[in-house]
Amino acid sequence: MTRTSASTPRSMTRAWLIVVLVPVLVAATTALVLRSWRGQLPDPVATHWGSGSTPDGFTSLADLPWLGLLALIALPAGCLPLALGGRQGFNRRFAAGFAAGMAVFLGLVVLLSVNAQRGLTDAASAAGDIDGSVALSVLAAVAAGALAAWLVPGSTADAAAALEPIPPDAPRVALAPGERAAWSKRTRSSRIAYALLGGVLALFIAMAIVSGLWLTFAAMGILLAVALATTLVFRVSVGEDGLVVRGLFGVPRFQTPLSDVAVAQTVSVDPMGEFGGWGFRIGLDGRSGVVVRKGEAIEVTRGDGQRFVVTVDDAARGAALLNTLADRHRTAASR
Amino acid sequence: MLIRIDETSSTPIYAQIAAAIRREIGAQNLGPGDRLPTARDLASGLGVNVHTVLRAYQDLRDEDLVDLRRRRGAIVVGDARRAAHLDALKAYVDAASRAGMSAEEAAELVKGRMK
Repeated sequence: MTRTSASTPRSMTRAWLIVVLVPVLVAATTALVLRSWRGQLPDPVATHWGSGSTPDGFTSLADLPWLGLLALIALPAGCLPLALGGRQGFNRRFAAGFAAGMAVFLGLVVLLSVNAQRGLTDAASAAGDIDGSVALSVLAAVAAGALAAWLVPGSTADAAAALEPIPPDAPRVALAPGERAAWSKRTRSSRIAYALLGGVLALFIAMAIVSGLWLTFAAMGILLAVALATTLVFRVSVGEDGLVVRGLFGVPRFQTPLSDVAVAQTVSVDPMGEFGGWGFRIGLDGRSGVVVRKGEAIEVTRGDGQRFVVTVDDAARGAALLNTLADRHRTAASR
Repeated sequence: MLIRIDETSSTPIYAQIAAAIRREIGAQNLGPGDRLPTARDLASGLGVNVHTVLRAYQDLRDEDLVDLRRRRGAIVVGDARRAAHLDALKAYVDAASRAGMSAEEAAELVKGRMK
């Protein structure tokens, strides 16, 4: 059972660089810009806005650069274990995207809200366009996060070849020598997930009405919709490409090539109990998985012993076909 | 859905794919509202050309089993009963042409029976 990939270190280096460098660069830039505005700002500066556009929190000019700096330095510290640990390229992508996105959001929101106070003598009158500033920062953060995640290679590069034969007692589909087969199924999320989604959207609308920050909550709504669209619905396929799990727009994409399949089987999964929630998850026992509802799932064990789970109906036929095709792939490769 | 095709068979691959999907609808593994995988994904999974899968999808659309939309892909609209009717019809048409019947003769026979 050897690792066949040389690209894992590259994926790790890029994730590591992004997680550390982006927040530090953003923090440094923010601090420098704030410093250059020093003469034009009221002291203290408004740093927190209550409902509407009335400031209700203030920070002295001397402490201002530290505010952003602390938050931005804490980010890499929190994301580093994810970026370095785990074999899943998805973890590293997530860490890089999250760190870059959060850094850009925090840096921009501080700069834009302070920028509105330049030339004021009393920060209490700082109405500013806080709504537009936050909305703009959220959207810029999404773009930065997506770019960072895209820059880090995904998990297909991490394939480790399984060398042992598929156990003879594993389920199989009877395929004649000239026959080809493919299996495909869409996952269905649990009703609870949709109910939660409805609840959060209603909450956003209520908060927008109460606070008057329409742009902010619209931007956050878009962010939530994109996040959910890529976690609620998946297409699971078994075929020449191995096991492929893809989100609604093709991303995220999790692939276990036939060469990497040690064995596939049907299991029963409880997302909350075993994975602590729904979506892409790392389980308590080290399994990774796309778990969107309780019930039957395909569990594939990879060449290096890592297990990947995806909840899907008709899992028995999918798992059986995956074993059959992996078997055939190995026989063809050894000839 | 599970699609199986036999390369050694004399039946064209696209017809085999269409028949397999028809069977899955008949067995209620696919039902109205279910979305078929994109032609590109299925072609890649089976290791066949994407046009082969598209041709199969078009045949299913012509039988009103599947709705093909530019943006949303292929969605199953026919149910198990319709798939069963189409299967029975195909068997009858095959038998009729083997027996050397013309299309008119075959249709007459059906009309006579349904009176």
